[in-house]
Amino acid sequence: MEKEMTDLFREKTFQELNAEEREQLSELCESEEEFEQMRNLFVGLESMKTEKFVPRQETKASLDAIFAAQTKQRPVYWYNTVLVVLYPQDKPIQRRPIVQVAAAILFVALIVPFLNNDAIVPSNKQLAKVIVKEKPKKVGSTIKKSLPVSNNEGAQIDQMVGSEVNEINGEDSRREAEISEDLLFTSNGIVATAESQMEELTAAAPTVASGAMAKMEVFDHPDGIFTGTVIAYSKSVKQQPAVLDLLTAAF
Amino acid sequence: MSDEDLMRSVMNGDKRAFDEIYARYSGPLLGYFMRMLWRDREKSEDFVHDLFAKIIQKPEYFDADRSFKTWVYSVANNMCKNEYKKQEVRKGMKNGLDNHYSLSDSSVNVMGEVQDSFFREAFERGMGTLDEKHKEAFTLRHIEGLSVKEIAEVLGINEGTVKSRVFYAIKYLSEELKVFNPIENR
Repeated sequence: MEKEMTDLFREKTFQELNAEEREQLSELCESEEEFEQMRNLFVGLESMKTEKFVPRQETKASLDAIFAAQTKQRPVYWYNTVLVVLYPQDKPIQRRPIVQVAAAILFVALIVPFLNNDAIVPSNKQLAKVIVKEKPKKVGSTIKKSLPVSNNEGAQIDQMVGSEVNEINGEDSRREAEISEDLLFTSNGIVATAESQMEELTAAAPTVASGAMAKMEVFDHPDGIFTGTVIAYSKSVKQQPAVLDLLTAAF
Repeated sequence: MSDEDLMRSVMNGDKRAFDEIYARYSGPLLGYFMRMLWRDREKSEDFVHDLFAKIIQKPEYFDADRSFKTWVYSVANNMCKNEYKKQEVRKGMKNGLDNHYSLSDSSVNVMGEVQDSFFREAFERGMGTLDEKHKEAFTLRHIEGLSVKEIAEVLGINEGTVKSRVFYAIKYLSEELKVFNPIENR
């Protein structure tokens, strides 16, 4: 409204104004004289507006120096620059790049596992496996268990003893002799052999001994200990009652 | 790029943004200070320097939600008011305007100018005798080209008061300048 008034002052004389314009300007000027005075003012102002003011170069140079000093005091860190790009303050939060990237990552992390559903369920249905470690069998106890416990098995015992005697002549005869020693003279073997079984062993002993008599003729040690030259198994308990004394002492 | 965007860049240390702001406003602000400070060129240059130095050193004073134009003119206007107060204390005058009017810009060759220059002289004289609050309203409205709303923001008054002050200044200046007729001199 006021802009239009000033335009009227610049562009028209009082006589050129129509009734509506005069009505409009009546707030500012009531007579032609006042109108002309104001017209002179606004036309003069137009010429004044053409006056350009330019600051001196020294002013700008001084400001540049201040700006350089200020920037030096407050260095621009690279992460601030990155932050301005990734998290611009003037944008809505959903349009900030770092928020968008985070949302995309979250989306992928939540959706992809469901798309590849088969990978979750393993093809192998077995959930656990029990591994039982077999303890090394004790030679003495094994042989003890395999020993015949009745007279009906005498033939088998003969066969076993016979085969063992044959193996004595083999390359590993020395190890086999040690096993036999374990059987008869180690504490384990004796303890494991209960008194109830002792009679059975005693009963079977003649048969065992009969198979080994050929070798025992050159072996007279009461305990059947290996002497280094001839390997032989023990004699029957009946033939060597002193063995029982040793066993009694052991118990 | 808007003035406000440039100021955000200035806050981040962008020298080119500052140069652009300076290019846009240094001239108009120098003219404003010249008119408001009795056409004292040296003082006006100092004021322009001080104002832009404040922008460099304390850019956070600018509220990005506001218009930079109204903000910078309000700062300039406050600087002028402070200067008026200094002069009042120093000279013991009401606003020191009469005393300072003689400090006209020496670069203006009055004698070599055409008739417009006489009008300009008279205008400046009339502005010098005009009351401060009317002068600032008139200058901002008819010389700096701010809208009534913008002037209200700069001066911190309502729009009706702005219109009233501008109207009073027009009446006063037109009365002071009635002896001149720039239209006939064209």
